[in-house]
Amino acid sequence: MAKILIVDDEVEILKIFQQFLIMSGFEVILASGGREAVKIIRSGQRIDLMVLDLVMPGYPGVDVLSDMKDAGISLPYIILSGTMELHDFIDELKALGCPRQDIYSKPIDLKELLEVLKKKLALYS
Amino acid sequence: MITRFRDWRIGKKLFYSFGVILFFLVVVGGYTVFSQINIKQKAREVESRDFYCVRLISALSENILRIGGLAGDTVSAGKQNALEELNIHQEKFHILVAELKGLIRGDTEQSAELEAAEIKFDEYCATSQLFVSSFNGEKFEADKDTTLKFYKLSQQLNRQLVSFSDEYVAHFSQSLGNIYDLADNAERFNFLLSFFTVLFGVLLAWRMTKFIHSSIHQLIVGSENFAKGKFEYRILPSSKDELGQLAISFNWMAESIAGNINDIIVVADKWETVFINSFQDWVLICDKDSKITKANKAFIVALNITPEFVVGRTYCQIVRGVKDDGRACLGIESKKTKKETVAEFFEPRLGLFFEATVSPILDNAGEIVKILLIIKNVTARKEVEKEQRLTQLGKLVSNIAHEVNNPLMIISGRAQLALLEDIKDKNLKNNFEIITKECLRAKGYIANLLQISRPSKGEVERTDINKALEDIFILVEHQFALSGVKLNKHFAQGLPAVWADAKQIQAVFLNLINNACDAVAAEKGRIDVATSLEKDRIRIDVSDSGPGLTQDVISHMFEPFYTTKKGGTGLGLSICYGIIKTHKGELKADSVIGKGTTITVLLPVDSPEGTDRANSL
Repeated sequence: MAKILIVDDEVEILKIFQQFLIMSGFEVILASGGREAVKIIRSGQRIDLMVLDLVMPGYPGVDVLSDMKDAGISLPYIILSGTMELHDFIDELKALGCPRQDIYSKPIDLKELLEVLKKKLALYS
Repeated sequence: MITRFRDWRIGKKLFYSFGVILFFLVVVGGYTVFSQINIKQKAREVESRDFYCVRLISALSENILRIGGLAGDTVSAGKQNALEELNIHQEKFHILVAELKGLIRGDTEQSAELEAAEIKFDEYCATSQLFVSSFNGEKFEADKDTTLKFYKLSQQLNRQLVSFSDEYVAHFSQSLGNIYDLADNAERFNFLLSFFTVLFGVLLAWRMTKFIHSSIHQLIVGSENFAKGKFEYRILPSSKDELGQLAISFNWMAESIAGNINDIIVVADKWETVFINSFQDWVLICDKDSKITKANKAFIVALNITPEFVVGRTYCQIVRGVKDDGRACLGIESKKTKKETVAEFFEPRLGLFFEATVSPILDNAGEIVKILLIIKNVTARKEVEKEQRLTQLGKLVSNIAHEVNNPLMIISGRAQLALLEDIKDKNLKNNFEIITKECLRAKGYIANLLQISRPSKGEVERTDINKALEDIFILVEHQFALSGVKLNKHFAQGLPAVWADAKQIQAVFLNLINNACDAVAAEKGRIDVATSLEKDRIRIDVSDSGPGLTQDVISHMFEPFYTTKKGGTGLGLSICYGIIKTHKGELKADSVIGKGTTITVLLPVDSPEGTDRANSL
């Protein structure tokens, strides 16, 4: 069973994804902020895929990615952001090797999300 | 040139008039003097002749009486003395009669009478001598006949003298009567003459006054008009006299002053031209009906017209090409309030924004004599303002998007979770489906909003505009065929490529073609899409045969949230505008009410600088 880390500062959003992904047969770990996400990633536990929000107070998604890179941790992920104004992050994302097609915007159709996650997991399995 | 009269017409008239009056006065005076002299002479004649006659008659009477009294004297003085005295008296009588005869010469009747009296007197003297001779020292011895004869003659002579004297008194009074008649006639004649003199004088004075008044009145009217500024006013000389000459002098003066004023006006006009030509803004000097009397160089050059063409036309006639009698154009407010007004407007024919300052110029009475228009091209400022507005809006939208998208995720997520349940109630299921769908629609709307401020940084590539358009046509052909709208292509071949985000540019064309389709769908009109090379830019014209757009719509159509379509977002064209601006291009609209609208896109062609620019996108 694939284990998915969901990072978002909105608790309600976490709850929705948790409920949906569990129903879809995934194992889910939740992180309500960047710092918490980094802690979970660095703890060494198995994570198959990460769904990362960009705009979060204190510790944005980009910082999570760069911390991961610094720590030499390779983890498949998709970006799911509320803001479509990616210009502030796009260069950083590019530098971090995030392809454009891995960036999605909220609100997202849950079935679409499921398709994306399945595809991504298949790619890395 | 004027003719100068050296005549003394009025002077002569006056001189002759006074001359005639003077002549009459001299006649009156002369006649008076003459008649006085005449009367005096007549009086003197009466005095010298008639009085003398009377005195002579009295002396004759005295002589007769003396002779009568001699009888008595003879007694006292002696016979000889009495006879001598008798002779003296007889002699004296004859002298007096001779004298009298001389005076009444011409009056034969009286002379005859006097001669008879003389004979009778001589007889009387002879009888008297006889009587005295009869005295012998004591008594008169004359016979009875002689005595009787003596007394009879004495009485006869006396009677004759009395009658003669009466006759003379009558003659005297007749002479006096003649004098009175003469005086009366002179008086009457004098009165008549004086009357006519006065009448003639009054008539002459009235005629002269009237004539001089009418001539002077003309001069007064002339000078009043002149004072009011009617320098072209001239007096028609009514006569060739001094007043006519004065009128001509006045005209000459008026001409000379008008000439000087004209010189001043010419100089002022030159100065005005130099002054207004120094402006970079358009400066128009108009009359009170907004008809241009003078336009500065900037205006003439900008519109590529001649200075003569503008005169007599209004701003709207020239710039907007509309029929305009000067009442409905710029500055209507100023005409009403007589105060300066400033207005900002878009000139669709020129595709420029202007700010016009309308200043009415008033005369002393507060009436508008001229209108000064200063028209400033504010397009650059407007563009900056528009971009600033769009940038600000972009930031705002970006914040909103973030704040709204999270709740939308929650709403749609919850709805989708609910749909995963086994919902039996069809309505409830439908509701959740609608919530999900509408959330995704809202997301699309926000994505559009965001594109206004910062179009996505897509891939910039060499793009063939004709091909990009062809791709669009494939998409819309079916839709056009259904709606009955004709789509015509007029593509220039061999156009150079442009550096552009093909997807964005296609989005722009799709938007423009869809708008055009909406405009003509009702009447199944036509759309023409043309491409051409214009200097170093590619021009794409999307024209429709729709109802056209008003100037007001054109000036706002690229602003976000401005829409004329029912249910439109007002974002389509503002997004297009943003995309074209990012590509350093130009987007503009031109429309004629009733004929249609043309939207023009201008995109810079590929060039070495273009490569840099494309990289900076």
